Amino acid sequence: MKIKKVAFGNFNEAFVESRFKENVNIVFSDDNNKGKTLVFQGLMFSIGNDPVFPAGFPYQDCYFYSILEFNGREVEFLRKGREFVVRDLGETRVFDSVSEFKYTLKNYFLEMPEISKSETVKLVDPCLFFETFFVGQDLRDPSSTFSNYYNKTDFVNLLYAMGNVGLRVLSAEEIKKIKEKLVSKKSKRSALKKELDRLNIDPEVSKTVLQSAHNDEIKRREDAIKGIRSRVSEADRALSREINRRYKLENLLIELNSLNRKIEAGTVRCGECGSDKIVYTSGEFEFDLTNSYVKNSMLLSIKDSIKLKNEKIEELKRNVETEKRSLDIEVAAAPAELRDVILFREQLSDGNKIDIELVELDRDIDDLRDQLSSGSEDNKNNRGYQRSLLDGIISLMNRISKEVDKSRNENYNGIFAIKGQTYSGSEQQIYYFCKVMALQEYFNHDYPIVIDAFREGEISSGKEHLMLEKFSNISNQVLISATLKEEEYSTEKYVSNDKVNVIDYSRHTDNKILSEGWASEFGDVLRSFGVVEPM
Amino acid sequence: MYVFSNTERTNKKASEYETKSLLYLLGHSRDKKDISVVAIDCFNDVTGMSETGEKLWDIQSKGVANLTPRKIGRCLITLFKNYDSDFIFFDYILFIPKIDEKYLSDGTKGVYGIKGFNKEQALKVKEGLVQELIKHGNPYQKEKVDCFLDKALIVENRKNTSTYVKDIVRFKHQNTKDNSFYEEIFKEIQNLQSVKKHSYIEGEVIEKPIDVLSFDRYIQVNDLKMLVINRFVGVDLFNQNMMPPSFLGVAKNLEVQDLQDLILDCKSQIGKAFFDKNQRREFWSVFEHIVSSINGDPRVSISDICETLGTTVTRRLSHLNDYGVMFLSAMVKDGLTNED
Repeated sequence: MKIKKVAFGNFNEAFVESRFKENVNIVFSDDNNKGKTLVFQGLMFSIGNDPVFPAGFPYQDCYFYSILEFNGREVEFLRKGREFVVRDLGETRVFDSVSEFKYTLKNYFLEMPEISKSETVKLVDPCLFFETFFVGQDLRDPSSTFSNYYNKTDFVNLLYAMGNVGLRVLSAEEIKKIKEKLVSKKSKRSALKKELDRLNIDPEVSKTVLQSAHNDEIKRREDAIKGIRSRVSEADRALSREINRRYKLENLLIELNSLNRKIEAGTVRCGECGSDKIVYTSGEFEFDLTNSYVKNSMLLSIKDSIKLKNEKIEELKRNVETEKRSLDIEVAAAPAELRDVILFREQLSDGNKIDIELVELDRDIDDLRDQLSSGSEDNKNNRGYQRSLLDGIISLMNRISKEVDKSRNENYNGIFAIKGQTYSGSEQQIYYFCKVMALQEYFNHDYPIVIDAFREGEISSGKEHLMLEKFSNISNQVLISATLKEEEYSTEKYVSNDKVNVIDYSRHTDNKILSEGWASEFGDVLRSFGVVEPM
Repeated sequence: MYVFSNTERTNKKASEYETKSLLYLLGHSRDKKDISVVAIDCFNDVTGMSETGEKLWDIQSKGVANLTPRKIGRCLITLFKNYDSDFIFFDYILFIPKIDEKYLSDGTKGVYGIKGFNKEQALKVKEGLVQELIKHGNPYQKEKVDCFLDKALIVENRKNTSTYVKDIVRFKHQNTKDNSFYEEIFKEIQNLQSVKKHSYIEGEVIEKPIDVLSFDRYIQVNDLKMLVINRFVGVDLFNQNMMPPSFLGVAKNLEVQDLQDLILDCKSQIGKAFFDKNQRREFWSVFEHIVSSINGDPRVSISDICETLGTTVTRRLSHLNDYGVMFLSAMVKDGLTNED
């Protein structure tokens, strides 16, 4: 299988790489951010890998295209997001998920096996499969797979499957451990469940809450109820205010009447004119504070005010009643679950947390059960074969490692490193190199070896040279990339010969591999697939 | 059974006319703004006096109806005597009921000099005056009589009591008050006027007009105005929705509901102050301060009025706090904005 072409972009700007040749292809540049990783990841993405693009690159908006050659036949792959198009001899097939696409991919990558995962046996996903020959630049961890979903157990199972030695079998020890874990998780689960029950929440209610967090209709009802509630308290407040004011006026009336009674004294009358207003004329202002007309007028006005307040109070009372009634109606009209939601919101948020924990626990328990059930197939022979497969691969890794590093003493003990074991940059390089080369040799597949940043971390020239030699000696196509140091670049470290094809990306603009120059060619490709240019 | 007769029926009418003439003086006479004090039953029934006593308005009132020109002449005697005295009077006014139009050349005017009468009647007026002078044994000079008659004014009572009261002070919404409101005020003034006459000054001598003040037979014009303003405020106080605009500045940071409560509180304070006769002196001091501040500067702010009020007064005035004083000031200030 050969990679002939990789391209990506859209109708406005694109990049097309069609310079790949049969043997070793080294894509290099004198600096980072020249697009090498984009090309490598773009290639793998086009044929079903998980997206591992540098942050900021809008891969969702790009079309990814590759031409792969299988036994002399060119097959085209086009991908955007989750949609795939495969064109083979004029026949076009469209898929809208990796899960569907991979079944077609198997037609070309014949080694893709079925493996057991989550209690089912299904076709392996491309992202795990590709790890047998593709090493990306990022997320490197020798103790684990690149994928999040698949772990190293899965990868080993993949290898077993590729070697036709079936599923991995659990040892008795392992079974016992799993059973113990299962017991502890189950007991934790029941404790949590008790707490949840203690909160006394109807599971239907909590389901509604969780489901309807963004439900517009429920929000509307909630707002309506809130609105009426505030109107009720507003009306209540107004009523209290007016009652208070009426009380003040009534008190004032009483006070004024009592003050008034004190004035009504005086039976003295002027003999001449009949006036009853006899006042002491001592040079001060002699008029009364009010006359009887004004007094009566004041008292009458206050009485009228009180009458008015009475009316207002009656009206406000009716108001409060009306609002309360409409609140009752609104609450009654709300679905039962909503009523519970509104009334028990706080309790629900606590319950929610417990809920989440429970879900996680359940998942763990299922996982463990999974392992138990699949592991309980007792197949001694299989286990033997599996052991020898692993041993075979590991010994290959060790041999290859010593080929490129003459002074190497340590041995690999497993396909993966032990977790926590630190690998230096160059050790990582050696590890990945050995791994993919060993796998290639063991399974004798003809897939290209694709390593992005193959000499990341200061591998020595000697080792590098030996690696390159090894690359040249296998029949598979090799795609590798490197960022050279200045002196290396200027001395033209890599020179094309009949075995090595160098592709220089140094001239690319930093962080801008896509250009309008390629737009036309790429546009033609897109149009050939029937992709319509957006307006 | 016994029927009262020969009672002093004329007294009521007479005193009413005396009060009306007082009000006419304050409301309609020439240069009325200069009148600072009104002497009661001193120089004449009512005599207006400027602040220094240098300007004097003299009024004789006679409530008798259907006076003939001759009788009118006789009524002028006190005015003539004043004319003839050492003091110089600015105006000489006879205040009487409506004169029969046949005596007058133009009976619509309401205020007449001697020339307002028809020639014959004018002579009769003069005759009446002269007769009266002879009767009382007062020597006179003919020229003086003529000069006097040229100056004298005869004013008809053409308005009702309400109007005379209204004319003392211009206040908002005067016309919405019914007549009994004004009649009550009229009676109050009338009462005071009567009381002022109770002292005995017959035979007393003064050198200058201003000396009349020592007899306490006078009414301050400002006091009268204050009386009227007070009555307006009192009757407006508990009117629905009464909110003097000047008070808004004080309460602009308050919410509407809090403002309403504050206003109710102020009104209650003022109401109690109106009713509590034990704090009468303090109340009038406050009121006087408010009215004089506004007279001094119609645009004075109510908070300034409150601040410049002496603290001794406000401390004794238990009903009014600062807000109460400001509300009262606002009512007075806004009520007076229409004053001429």
